[in-house]
Amino acid sequence: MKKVLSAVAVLLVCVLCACSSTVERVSDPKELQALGFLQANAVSRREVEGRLGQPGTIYENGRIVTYSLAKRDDRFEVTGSAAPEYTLVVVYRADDTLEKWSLVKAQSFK
Amino acid sequence: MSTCYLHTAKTESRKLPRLSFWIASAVLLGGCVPLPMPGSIEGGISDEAVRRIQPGTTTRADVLSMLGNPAERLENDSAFVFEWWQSYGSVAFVTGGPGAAGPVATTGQVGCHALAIQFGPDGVVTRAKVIHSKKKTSTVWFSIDMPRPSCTSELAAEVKAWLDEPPKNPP
Repeated sequence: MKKVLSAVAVLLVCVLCACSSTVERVSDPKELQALGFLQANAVSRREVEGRLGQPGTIYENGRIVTYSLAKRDDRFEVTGSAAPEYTLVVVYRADDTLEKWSLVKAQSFK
Repeated sequence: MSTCYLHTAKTESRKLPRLSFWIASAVLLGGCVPLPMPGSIEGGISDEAVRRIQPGTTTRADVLSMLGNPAERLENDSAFVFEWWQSYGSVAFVTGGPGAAGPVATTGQVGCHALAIQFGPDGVVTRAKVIHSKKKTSTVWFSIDMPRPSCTSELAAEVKAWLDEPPKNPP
């Protein structure tokens, strides 16, 4: 019996580990709710940085920035991870107001 | 089910002549149960996402908003490279001795993929291409996880060659 249980356990682990991950833009409103303070045209760079701190990656002289995020109990936390669970992409206008943002769920690797 | 003898399994396959490797593998795995494992993909970029990247209209901000940070950024962000890897299915050999069970080895084919995107000085995509590496057989000991292949050699060379190509219709 023990042998059978062991074999079943191993088989289950095998099947569960054979999962896939693809890069996806998060569109679920429930998931995005935690980042509701990011209102396009209404929030400034200073306000965003006040909530999230300095961005992890900068593009186009700071017009586009990204934050590495992890989800903890329905809340997002900024992490320093190089392979984050989520990447928040924030695009600012020339006057430093928020133009648009997106949340990308991904597992990058090197 | 017999217990596998693991004490010689740490021998690296690269150091063994090919025949010796297969003989050693046969001895090691002889008493194990082979379990087929389905293929998996990590960090994959969907065909739909690739189709959305339109030269002449898609901007750098659009690409980042869709795909997040790239694995590689070329000078002045003139190009991004996104990478992912795929297992095309594998076989895990497991042992189940009295009171213990565990993987001895997993072998299968793995491959790397890259999406290279080139931008013009205005930050708009000029061209994009998905590049695939050749599938390679890979074996990992004492694990059911396929090893993550290094995408930094042949694939990187192919990506570089593509990025270095002069544009077909220069302005």
